[in-house]
Amino acid sequence: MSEGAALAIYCNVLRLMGLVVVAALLVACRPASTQVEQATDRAASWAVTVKAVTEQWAQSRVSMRFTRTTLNAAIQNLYRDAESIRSIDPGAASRITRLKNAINPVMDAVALNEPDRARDAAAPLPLIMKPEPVEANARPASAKGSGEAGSGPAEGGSDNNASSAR
Amino acid sequence: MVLQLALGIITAIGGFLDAGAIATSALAGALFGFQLIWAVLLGTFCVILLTEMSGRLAAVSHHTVADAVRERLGFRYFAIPLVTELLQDVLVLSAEIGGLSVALHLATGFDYRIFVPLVALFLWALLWFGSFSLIENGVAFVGLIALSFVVGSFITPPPWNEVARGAIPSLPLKDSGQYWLIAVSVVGSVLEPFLLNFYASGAVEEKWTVKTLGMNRAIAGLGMSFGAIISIGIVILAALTLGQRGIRVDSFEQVVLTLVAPFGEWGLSLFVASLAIACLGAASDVSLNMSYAVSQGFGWNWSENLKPHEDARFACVYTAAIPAAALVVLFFDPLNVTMIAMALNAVIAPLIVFPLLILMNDTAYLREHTNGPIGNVLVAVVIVLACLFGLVAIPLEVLGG
Amino acid sequence: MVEPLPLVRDVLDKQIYDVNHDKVGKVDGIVLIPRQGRPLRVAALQSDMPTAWRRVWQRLGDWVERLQQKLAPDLASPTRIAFEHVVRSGIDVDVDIDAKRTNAYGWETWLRRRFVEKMPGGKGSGEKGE
Repeated sequence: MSEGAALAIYCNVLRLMGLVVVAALLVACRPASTQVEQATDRAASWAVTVKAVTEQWAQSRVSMRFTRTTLNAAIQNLYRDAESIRSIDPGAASRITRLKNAINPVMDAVALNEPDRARDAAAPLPLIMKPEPVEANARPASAKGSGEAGSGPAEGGSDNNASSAR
Repeated sequence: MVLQLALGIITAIGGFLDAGAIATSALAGALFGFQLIWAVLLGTFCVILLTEMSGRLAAVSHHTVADAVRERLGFRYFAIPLVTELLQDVLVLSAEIGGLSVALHLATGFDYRIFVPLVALFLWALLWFGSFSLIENGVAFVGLIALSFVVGSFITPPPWNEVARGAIPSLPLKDSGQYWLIAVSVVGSVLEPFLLNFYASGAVEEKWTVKTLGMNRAIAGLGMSFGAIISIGIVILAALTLGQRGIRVDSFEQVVLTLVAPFGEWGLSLFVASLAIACLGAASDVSLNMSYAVSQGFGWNWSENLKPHEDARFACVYTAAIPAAALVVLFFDPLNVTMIAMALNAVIAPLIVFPLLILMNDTAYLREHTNGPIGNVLVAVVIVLACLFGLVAIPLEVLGG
Repeated sequence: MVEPLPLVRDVLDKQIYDVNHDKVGKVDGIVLIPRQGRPLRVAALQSDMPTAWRRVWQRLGDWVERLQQKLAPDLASPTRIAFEHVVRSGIDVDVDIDAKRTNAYGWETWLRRRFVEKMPGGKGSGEKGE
């Protein structure tokens, strides 16, 4: 075998070994915040997907079977994403779980073959995953009052978002 | 000759698309709009160049890439791309079997895992009983249904100036890690390493000679170009129907929406048919390539046109590979397997492409049909790009999630 | 004057074709015989899996050989073609014997009888579509 071929072999083997080491290091160092961000992005995507598919079903552009298949896929993926980040960010995991549970009425409408009801039930789903806005002059939350203070602006924000979506 | 050329181009078009191309193109469009069209074009340019060369090698020398790599560089070098390509081919085959099973799941609503053994059995029977021309031409003709992605992108027309802008490489506006991972995956889905030896093996099966060199150039150039147009159609539709709504691609159910928008109630059927046939074609190509690579590497009798009784070792390779691949997709999500397989294509591509630079300048194989200086420069550029993509693919896979 | 034959470039790893232009295998190894006080003699071409894999890693070749001996001990010997049967070399090696008279197709026949003929459609010979 020629020297060039031998060199090629050794370079390739070393390169592959190097890649494995780098990958292992990167896996160990991947930040938890990236995981949470990706899980919430995926959840938001599924919320819009369910809304879009039910709209298509209401317009008879997709079948009931496909709608049910998509809802099942959404529920499975949301469950998986919520569990994967529960120990890192319980708040975000709860939001994803809330979204998953909000699909149940949509599923019920599909089971009863009621496209309009399914579409209406799916319409507010994307709002569940919209990030809650923080007011510029909000005071730092105290231990007791934080829940109430947090929910006020969020509800107001949601209403604003809902009106702009219409 | 014209009929053969037309058949060849249709085969290339119909065979261009597979689960990887559909998934990566849809993901590219959903996340980055038209920005990654340049990656499809780059991958297509590379694959045209390399398939033309592997076809030329086969037509002139009647040796395939696997034959020539072993004969010219020795078994010690050949063993590394052989083993890595076989492992990678199992992964790609898993993705294709998974894609076909998912298509049946979308059509029926039953869990895709129920279909995996049936798909594997059907694929095996197709290879066991079918001839090369039946598998290639038959599947490719039916695979033209994937042109619905192209038609769809004209029914819901995009801003064409933005599409044109996407043909020029640009830096990402957000999520750099994910952008470059998808770029690498898109290139990997087009420039699949198994394609080079498969194309050369097909040329030998169809008894190409020096007289068919022009046809080889036309098939490689036109066929792959038309195939790329289908991928770009998917990017466009995904950008318009998914990206603008904020829908990512985490499941094939979401990709269905790309054809529902232009075709309404026909959209689901068209998508199911396109996915199923694309995956069937790719699965048969990958399975055959494993048999080709091993048989050619060890000098066994090989031809898909022979009955298994005549080339038992050749037939036993794909008979063993198909269930192994099916097992993978029973335990792992098909879309995840597909994305990983496409990224890993980029990792092993240099091992397969590098020998071509040596082979295409060997007059013992190519006589007066060796590469010119421009051809050599282009191959060298492709090798550098392949090495670059290969080096960053695994870290990006981790970083890009 | 006889031209020297570069064994590595023009013989090793090349495809062997027999007198009927059937594929025999690749030249996985070349058998050299030492002679007292004289140069090595090129004795034969050798074609079998353990020989090929031993060139990558000795132990790998040994494992392949052990596996072959477990599966079919009578087939575990390599195919050897005496060098005087080599007619031409280059990108292929042509030999002037019929491969069916050697043990080159031993494993092919074993697989055919053990597996292929037991599958539906596994008994027919010739080309598909005939």
